Amino acid sequence: MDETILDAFRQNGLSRRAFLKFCAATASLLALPPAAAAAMAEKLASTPRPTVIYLSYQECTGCLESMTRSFSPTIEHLMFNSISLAFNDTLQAAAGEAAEAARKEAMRKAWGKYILIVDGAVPMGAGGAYCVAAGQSAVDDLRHAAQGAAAIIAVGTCAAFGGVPYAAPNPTGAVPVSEVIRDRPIINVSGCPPIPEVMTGVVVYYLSFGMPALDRQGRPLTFYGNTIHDRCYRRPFYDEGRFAHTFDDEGARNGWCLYELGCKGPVTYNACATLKWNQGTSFPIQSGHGCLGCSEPDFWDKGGFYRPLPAATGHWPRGEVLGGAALGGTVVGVGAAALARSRQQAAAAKSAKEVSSPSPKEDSHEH
Amino acid sequence: MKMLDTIPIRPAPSPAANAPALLREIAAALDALLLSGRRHCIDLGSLPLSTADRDLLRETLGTGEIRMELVALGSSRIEETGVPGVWWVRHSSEDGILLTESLEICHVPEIVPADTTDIANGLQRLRQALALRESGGH
Repeated sequence: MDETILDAFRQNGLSRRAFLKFCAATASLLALPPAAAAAMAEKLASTPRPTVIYLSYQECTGCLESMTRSFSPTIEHLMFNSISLAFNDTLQAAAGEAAEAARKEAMRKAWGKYILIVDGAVPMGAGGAYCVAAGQSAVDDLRHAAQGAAAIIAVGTCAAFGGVPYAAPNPTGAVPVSEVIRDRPIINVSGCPPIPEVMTGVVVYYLSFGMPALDRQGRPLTFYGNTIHDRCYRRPFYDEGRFAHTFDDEGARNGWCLYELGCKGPVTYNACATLKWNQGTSFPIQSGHGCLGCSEPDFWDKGGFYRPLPAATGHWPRGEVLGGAALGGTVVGVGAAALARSRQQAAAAKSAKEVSSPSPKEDSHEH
Repeated sequence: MKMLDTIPIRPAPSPAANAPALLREIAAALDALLLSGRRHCIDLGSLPLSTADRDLLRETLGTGEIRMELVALGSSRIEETGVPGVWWVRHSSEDGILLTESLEICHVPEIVPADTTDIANGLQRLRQALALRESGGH
């Protein structure tokens, strides 16, 4: 019988109790009902230890850093010690032909069953020549590896949506994984980088329960079901119409809403406001800076990071908002919040439209 | 503290909004445990609990007879409350960060009893140690 994940725990000197604790913590992280922890434990105890192949293309290794530089390595380390990370060219000791041989062997053994994690965009320009390793272009490599994959997890905004390489003028003709592979289930775990617990959680969820429910961008709803704005602890200030207008004004010092400073929280779906970063220490808004919207498609090309959302949507004159917010006061504040909310709806409608209609930039992609 | 007492304030009614419902859920779960032996678990981390909610839970459930510390992947505290069959379980990571906190309604939390495979592995190690002793090692 194949080695199970529980067996792998035991081989690392861990007891069943540690395994049950891992399942309880993961179920809680995934916001699953507590009964799911038992179901997860049962499933993982009998599931053959999966092979994970991690391929890196046009990327900066920030996603891998996020995953491995976590201060509390328990869960992440367990993931990769207990789940067989068969190939990652950055982490493994082997190099050159030995590394390629190890990878081919791992893929051959688990053909049709392995989980393929892809990090980075795929350049299609010049026949794929912008990203070549071991004599094979990223696009050919991905097409081959995807054939043997049970599922693909596109880690980071580059793999999920193209990210920075895809940004205008996209000199390498970069595309996201979903534009190269269309016949395999793809889970997008976006973010620049994604929250480490989210990457781990998605893998564990997949192993326990199969494909998670995804949003229209292919992201797991468990982590990408709410906007940053919906779960932001500064949201009450937005509702009261209290905004920071510069990074050193009274509003900034008082920790008011950063909407007017270009925060993209209202149109960004991610778990930063609840899971936070560095073991729940903080997240950008808590540190006084607006959300950049890094887990959304084209976040790099949506106008300035510091341009307020309504200016970008063009639906409402900016003066109205500033006037309302500057006056403060409860009555005016409520009005400003209502105004801001309707602007937000307009922005949401617009972004929905953008998603459903192909962006003009796609014309430049080579297929 | 004396100074605070001189301030004429009347405490507002308890804002413990969710604890009463939780306590009813616990009562129903105990009923089910008695009738059918079914376990129940409430993940406290996923519920919006105020300090007053927690205080009310602690106060009503009280402290029981058993307090265990589990040392696996960091420390975990498993405490029976004053209501037998209701266990307060807190799992922390190796660096002391709370991973999950739950109330388990059962005879003994599933994580406590020794597992058959773990027992077999332990027995094997014990036999090896005995064999080593007999062969003159230490």
